[in-house]
Amino acid sequence: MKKSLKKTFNTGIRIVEVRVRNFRSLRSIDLSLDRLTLLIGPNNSGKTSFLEALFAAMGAGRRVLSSDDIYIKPNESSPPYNRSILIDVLIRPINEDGNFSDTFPEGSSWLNLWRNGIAQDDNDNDFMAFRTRLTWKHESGEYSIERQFLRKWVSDSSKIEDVEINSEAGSVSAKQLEPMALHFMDAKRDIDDDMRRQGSFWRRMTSDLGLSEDDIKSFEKILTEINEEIVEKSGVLKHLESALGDLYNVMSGEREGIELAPVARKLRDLTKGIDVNFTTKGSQTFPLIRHGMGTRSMASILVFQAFMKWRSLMAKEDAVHPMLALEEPEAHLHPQAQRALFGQIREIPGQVIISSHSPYVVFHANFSELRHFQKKDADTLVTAMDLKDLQPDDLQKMKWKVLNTRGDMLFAKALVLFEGETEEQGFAYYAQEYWNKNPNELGINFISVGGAGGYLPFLRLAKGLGLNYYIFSDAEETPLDKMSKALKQIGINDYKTCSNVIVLPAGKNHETYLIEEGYTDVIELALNRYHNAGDYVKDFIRDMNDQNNKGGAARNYKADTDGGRKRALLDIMKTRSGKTTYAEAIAKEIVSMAEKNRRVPPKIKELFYQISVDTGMTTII
Amino acid sequence: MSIRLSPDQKRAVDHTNGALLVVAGPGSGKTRVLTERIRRLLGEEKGHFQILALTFTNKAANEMTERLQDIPNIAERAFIGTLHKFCMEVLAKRGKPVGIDGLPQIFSASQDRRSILTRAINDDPELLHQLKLAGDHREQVKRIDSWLRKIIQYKSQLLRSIEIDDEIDRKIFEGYQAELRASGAVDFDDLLLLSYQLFEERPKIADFYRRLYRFICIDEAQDLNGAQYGVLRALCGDEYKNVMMVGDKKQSIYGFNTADPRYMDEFTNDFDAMVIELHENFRSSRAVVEAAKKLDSAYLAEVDKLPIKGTVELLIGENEDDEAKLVLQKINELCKNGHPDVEEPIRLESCAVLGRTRYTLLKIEEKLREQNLPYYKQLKADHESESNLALEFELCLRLLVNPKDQLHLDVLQKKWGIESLAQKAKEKRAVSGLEFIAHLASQSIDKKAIVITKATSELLASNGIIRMPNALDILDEYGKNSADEDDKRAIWEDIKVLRGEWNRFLRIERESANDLASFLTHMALGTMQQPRQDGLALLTVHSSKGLEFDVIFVVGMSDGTFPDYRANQNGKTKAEEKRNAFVAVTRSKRLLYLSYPQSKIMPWGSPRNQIPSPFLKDMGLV
Repeated sequence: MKKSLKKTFNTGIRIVEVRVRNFRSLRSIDLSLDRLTLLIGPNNSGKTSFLEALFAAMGAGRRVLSSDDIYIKPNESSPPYNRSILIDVLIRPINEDGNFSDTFPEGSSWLNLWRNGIAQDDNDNDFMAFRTRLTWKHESGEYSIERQFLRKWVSDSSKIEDVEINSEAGSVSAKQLEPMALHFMDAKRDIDDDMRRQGSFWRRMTSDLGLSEDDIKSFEKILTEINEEIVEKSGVLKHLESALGDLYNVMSGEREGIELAPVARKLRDLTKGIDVNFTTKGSQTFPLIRHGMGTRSMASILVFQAFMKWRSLMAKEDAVHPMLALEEPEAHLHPQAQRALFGQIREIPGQVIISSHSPYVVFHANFSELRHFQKKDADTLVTAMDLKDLQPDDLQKMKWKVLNTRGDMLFAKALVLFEGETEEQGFAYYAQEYWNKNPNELGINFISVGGAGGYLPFLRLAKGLGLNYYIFSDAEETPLDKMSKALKQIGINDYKTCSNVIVLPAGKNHETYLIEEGYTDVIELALNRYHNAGDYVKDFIRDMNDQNNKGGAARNYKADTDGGRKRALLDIMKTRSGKTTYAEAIAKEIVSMAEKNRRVPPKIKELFYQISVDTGMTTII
Repeated sequence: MSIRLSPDQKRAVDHTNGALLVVAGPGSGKTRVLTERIRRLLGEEKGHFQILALTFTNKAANEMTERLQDIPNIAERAFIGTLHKFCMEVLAKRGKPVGIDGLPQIFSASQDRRSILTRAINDDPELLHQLKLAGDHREQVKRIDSWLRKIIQYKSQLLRSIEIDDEIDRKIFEGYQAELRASGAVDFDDLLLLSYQLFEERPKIADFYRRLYRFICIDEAQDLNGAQYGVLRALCGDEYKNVMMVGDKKQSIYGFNTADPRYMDEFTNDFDAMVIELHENFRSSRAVVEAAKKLDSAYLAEVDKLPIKGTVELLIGENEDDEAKLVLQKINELCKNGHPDVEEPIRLESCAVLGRTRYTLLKIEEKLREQNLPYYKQLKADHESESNLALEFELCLRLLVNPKDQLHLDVLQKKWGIESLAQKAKEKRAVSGLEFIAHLASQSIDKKAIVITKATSELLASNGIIRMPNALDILDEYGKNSADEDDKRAIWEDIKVLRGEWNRFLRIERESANDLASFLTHMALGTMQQPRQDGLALLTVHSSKGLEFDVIFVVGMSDGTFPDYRANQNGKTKAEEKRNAFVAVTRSKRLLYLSYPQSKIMPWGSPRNQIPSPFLKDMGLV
């Protein structure tokens, strides 16, 4: 028993790649699949569309493609008739060690299932590929769907529409896909629903309890006895029974006898009401249905897992390749439970495709398992990371320095990286002012990389997953140099040519830039307000003049022509605590300036303008 | 049929792994042993596997399919078909490395091959020169035929052009192949040659089929020729041994196809095969088996064990007319009164008349028509329409399927008398095939052209569905109104055959798309062999192979006719004629009647006395 359970982990095949053309927003995407694949990216970027496309190709259940599913260009009102939906799926054999194999071995259930549908590549290695296609048929005046084996899998995926399917390839029957049918659990899954719904995993498993005829008879005899005893002892039921006896008088039928069955008499009816009682420590036992959505959602996944293992066991020699598409496994679960659940999901044999918005889930995945979805204009773009030039140490840094704390960046529409926290705090206010919307709502993430030396892991991840990122950098020599070096490491040799890298005017840092731009009065106002002082700079000069600064030299503000106000102001903002302390206060003050066009400093405006252009938001100059 | 098996039969049926040769005589239940073994393997063997069951005639394949059709999902668990059909599927699906992409079109008619070669010669000045050296037109035609035979010979040796030493031969071979491919076609021998090359050059593809088919079974193994055996060897490689062959060396009559029973011996050596011999005859009556034993002393069937006496009789006609009369009298008598050795009433369907060649059957056919008795003919292994209407319709089908097919386009233009404006076939015609045919027809004064155009457009009137019956109705209608009686009959028969073939194609080829291309391919492969029909069967000896009837008449048993006069020259063909006689005789289950005319009208009009066939003497009838 245990051995065969283990066996189910190796199903003999893996779905390696899926190519979708003209399905909803997916004009053209290619996606490689691992044993576990995690689809990430902003909302509405096409993740669910992809899962539905795959379900239409090989789903366990009906998902009829229709003309509504065909990709429409932004300027079209309906798709042209010659546009077809294509969903190509590539499958390769896997050996007992879980590695790719050249061949489906003799006696393999897959070989026997697909037979001549199996093709060979240029190295004569086996693969199975099939195409699901929705095309307009002029003759019948309607769209029709067909599934056919592909004889070749072109390496240049832009050419797949040229691949002709000759009739010799043969069509794929439902029977040939069933053992690897995709099960789709959407975010609304609920064990309570499963227990009631005909055809759910729960019902499919429990409809046949595997009891012998004799057992069933003897159980049903006991059920009858229980029924009789309950009715016998219950005054209400007895009364009801005799009242219902009058039915015969009304209906004038043969009097045969009327019986009340407070408990189902047939075992198969009884299984419809199987209940699960779930007790947490120290609390009262109560049925699963009364638990919260989190527990119910999780239970639903566990039942799927049990169902697949059971099926594998029951199938004996016939191979089964469980395929699960799971939407938002994190739904209704607290972070701790999300992690535990993710561990469970990894145990599911076959392949799992997860779409998730949870940084916790992402943190527990491998980089190679991530597929980043985003919209470029109206089309979906998918990126997987190329890990071949990265060292384990690089990956560690990405994991711990980035995903551990800033995993949410993977779901952003635009990502702005800064060297320090000053900017991170202030920019939210500017953005709110600029777009008149909360940046979170817009999907814009402001992230401090923790010093100019911290750019690299962020950039690697951003570039690797094709995230839409921006850098807003000081122009002082050292940080600029570090930033530029980090960019070089990801293959960008000259930041000056990049529209997504905004650098302050030569030699300026954030503070000197603001002063340069004439925000001195507003900054002072912010300081006064923050410290509840009349003239904080004046107070500062009074207290700090002649005191040694960090370098050891004595300050002498009074020697300056302006009485040292400018220098003192800079010193205030530069102090380590000052930077972060005042950033928010200063930004708040700037965005509430009377002059509307001064409320966002020019360089920041430049950044926001660029983001607007790139993401298709309203631009404001 | 009862499932009881003799101990030897059971041994063969119970065999699982390793090579096995079953040497079996007529009536020993060869095919039954084969099908019962397939049934047992599919039923009892554990695991996922399929069986490759190969035959050499479509008749045998059809019979095997029929016997196994009660096994659930048999089509998914076994490939049952001819070796050629298997090769065709291999090439259609995986033939890219040898230059075949998709379903190849097959040029099966010898006339087609001759035209292809002529074209190739015309393209090459040196070959043209060589041809002219042969002499006048007659000699040139002979030379072309001898070259064609050489090509066939090279192909049967599975040679590639670079392996041909003679330079002229190599050029001929290459030119022929290039011309064939330019027409988007292959010939029968290519199916074997290319499959062989594919398996040899891409061993992993052969390996795929070895993994797919755990067992290979071959029926009628005596019909193997060198190329076929080569394909089998290449398919099996060095390790694969699960091959079972069943054959009867005495029934090898496909000598013209270079078949040779010696490959059964080679198989025994190469595959280290176990040999089981089946001698018992469960089918034939004592009289028939005795006669067969007299024809071949090595035939080991035990006569004493046979329960039914049966009869072997000789009918002697004064001339061919009288011979035919006697035969029909006998048939009528048997149908009326029955026979003690045939349990059931004898019907026309229980009888067959066999002739060495189709010409020996002409008188019988004439008499049958006179007496209005139903009959059907099965005279050749492959089908060819007789009427021009059907022939031209088939040519149009080819053009619809393969726009590159210049050869058949030329033939059609010639038939339709379009000479001045010769059309070139193009790889991609601007117009559809239908428009092209209509265009051709518009230039022809041939009335048939219009009818055929109408039929083809009806054929494709509904996209996605081939409306063959509707198209044939149109042709049929034309035939009915034909003034010429011979023409009328020929059209009627051809259309009947095409109808039958289409229906059979639909039934057999459930899996493949029922498009025209597959229909033509399967016509070429002869999958559409007519099943038994109503009435008396008129068969040539070759086409009778594998069939059996309660009552057999072998007509024209005179020296020069059977054995054929051409066979008297050398020993090998003579031995083959004897095997032919053996096959003819053993088609009978119960009653055997042999006949000959004492005199025969020769083609030049004068009668000639006939000497009884030496085989009659062998059987002790004269």
